[in-house]
Amino acid sequence: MNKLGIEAVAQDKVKVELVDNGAGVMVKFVGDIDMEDPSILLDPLFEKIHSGMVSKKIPEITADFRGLNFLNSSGIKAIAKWIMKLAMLPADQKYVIKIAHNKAITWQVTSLPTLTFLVPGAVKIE
Amino acid sequence: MITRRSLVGLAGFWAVFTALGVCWLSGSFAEPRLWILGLVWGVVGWALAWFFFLRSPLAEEPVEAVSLTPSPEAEEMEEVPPALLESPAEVLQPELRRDEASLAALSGFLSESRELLKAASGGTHLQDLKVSADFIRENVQRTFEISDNLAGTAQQAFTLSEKVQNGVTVVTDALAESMRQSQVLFDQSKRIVMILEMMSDVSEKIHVLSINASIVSARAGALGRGFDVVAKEIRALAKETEHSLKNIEEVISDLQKTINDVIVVVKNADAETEQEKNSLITVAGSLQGVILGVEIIRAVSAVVKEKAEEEATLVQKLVEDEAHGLASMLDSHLADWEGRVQALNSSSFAPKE
Repeated sequence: MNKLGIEAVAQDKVKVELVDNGAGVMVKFVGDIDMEDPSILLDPLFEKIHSGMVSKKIPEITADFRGLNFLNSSGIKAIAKWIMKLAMLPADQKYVIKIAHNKAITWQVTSLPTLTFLVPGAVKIE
Repeated sequence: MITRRSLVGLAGFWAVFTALGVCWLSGSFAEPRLWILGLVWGVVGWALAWFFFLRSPLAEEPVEAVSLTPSPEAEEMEEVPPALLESPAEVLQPELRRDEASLAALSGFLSESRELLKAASGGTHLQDLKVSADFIRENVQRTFEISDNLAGTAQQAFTLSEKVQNGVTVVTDALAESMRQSQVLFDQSKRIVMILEMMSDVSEKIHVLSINASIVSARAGALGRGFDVVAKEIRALAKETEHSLKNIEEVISDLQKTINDVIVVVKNADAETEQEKNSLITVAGSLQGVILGVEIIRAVSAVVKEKAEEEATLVQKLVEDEAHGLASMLDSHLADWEGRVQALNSSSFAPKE
């Protein structure tokens, strides 16, 4: 079990797994997020991750999208909502989100760096 | 009341009585000339006084009326309660205490108003309002930055689409070349057909000649010289056949070369098509990235909108609270002050109408 105590979830063609990663944690997305309403899966998951990161004062989390082949607009909306929660936190409670992306997948190259604009300094692209 | 006319009259009387006084003091009332001289002296003095008065600044402006009658205050002083005259401290102290209480209330009112103004200018509500305003401003700035990023992405997509167009042109040229080569192949195949037909004719002639040679040979018997001629013809036809076969070999060789060229062209076209397929995938990925970027903007805008609505509600509440607080406070103090004024009016120390 990881630091946040969150178990892996799988639905349709996607699997989301959390593992410890040094001082932080890593949330890995594998497969395709192409379901009609991925917020049913992602919103509760991101809420757990966010509250766990704040309460346990974990300094950073890596969102690994390298294994994600497709992401629809509802999926990116859920990710943006998670990052906007980070934006509303006081400075002393903020944690860092590192986004690991696959440069061979064009949509990741063109869209994921945009997420860093939401919370400058707290969201980084790798 | 002193008026300009009375001043002039007083000056005339002063001059006449001065003249009469001088006459009386000198004991010359019995002498009419002296008495008349004193009277003339008084009239002249009165005229001179009038003359100098007219030339003085006093004549330029009216003299204020001064009442010599007792003032209402003076009349009231006569009606001061005896208790006030006997023990003023006991009578005045409650009034002074009431005035002190009024001043204290006024001071409290001013302090309360000051605190209210301070709260209105820097209180919690306004601080929250400022934080919200800053939040909205920062998010709007980020929205612009994201838009800029999207503009760059759109430029990339445009560049990629141009590459796709150029690639499609190359593919079209390659296909046209393939068509031309195919036509050549078709023409050469027709030549092969013609050669084959000619070979067929030759073969048929050889066949006929061989039959004729057999017949002639049979009739001649010993005379077989004719057979020799036929044999020569057969050899000539054999040569012709051999020549035709060589032509066929050459045509087949050209055909193979052409086919090889077509294969190379098709391979190139295939490679180009593969590249364009990858480009198209990249374009699709870029467009998907743009769509996701727009969705991020929409998410940010939704948060900004929600925050702006909260701020509007907060401002509305602030205005209502402040207005209600001020109105209540003013009503309270006005009622208090009205009571105090009524109390002062009803007190025995108040001036009588």
